[in-house]
Amino acid sequence: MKKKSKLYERIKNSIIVLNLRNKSREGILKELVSYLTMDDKAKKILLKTLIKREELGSTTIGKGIAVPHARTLLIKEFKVVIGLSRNGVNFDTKSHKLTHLFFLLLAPPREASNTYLITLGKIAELAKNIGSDRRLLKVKKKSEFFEIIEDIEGKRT
Amino acid sequence: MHKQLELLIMLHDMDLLLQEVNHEKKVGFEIKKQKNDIHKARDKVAEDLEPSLLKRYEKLLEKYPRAVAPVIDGVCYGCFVTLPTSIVIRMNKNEEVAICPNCGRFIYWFED
Repeated sequence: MKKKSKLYERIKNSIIVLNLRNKSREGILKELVSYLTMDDKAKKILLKTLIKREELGSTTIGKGIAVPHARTLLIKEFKVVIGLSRNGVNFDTKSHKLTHLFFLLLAPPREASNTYLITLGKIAELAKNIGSDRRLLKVKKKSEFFEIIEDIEGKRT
Repeated sequence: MHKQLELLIMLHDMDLLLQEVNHEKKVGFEIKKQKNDIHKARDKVAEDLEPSLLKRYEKLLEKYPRAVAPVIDGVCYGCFVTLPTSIVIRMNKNEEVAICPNCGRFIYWFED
């Protein structure tokens, strides 16, 4: 059987923000998008697309995790921005549960390796496997974050 | 950026979302609204487009999976043909709605 690649391998070079400051859904999305290298106009369009996506159904997947995501013309290559909100945010406006951890996933319309859909699936899997493990929400260093992801995945193989 | 180009990009991105809704559901993302509602949201964006552009957009979709293509390093990523220099040297490229002279797709320029 072909060995599946791990989430850790796919996201270890991502931008990670350990202290998201915003407290609203739109604010969080704006803050995550602000870490991308693109012109302001493109950021504005991308933000609108992400908000529309959330309106169609929240991208929260339980355990305090949300994965706002989009395929978009506005980027050239697959990108992940990870953000952590210590206090949590009411990201899914229809639920009262707080969201702490955000994985913003963006991909261009066309990718040969289909990284986007596979990574979406891997994060959903992580949320299922995380159980009562709260370590990811308490990390102090970026490297620590990825080590914990590796550890959680390692236990499952 | 030209307002109509902005709408074309948004419409394009919503069409991409529609294509992958089923996959999203499969991996565990809940899309609470019905597919019909997603189409409505998509059509709401389309409503603001100039009718001639929308007509062209829909016509392109009959021919290709996507109607807007990025241009990177002077190459249209819809048909992978290098655009003529006369188009490439134009200033403020995203300030107008342009089409690829080879494949006819709308084009969006990445800043170099």
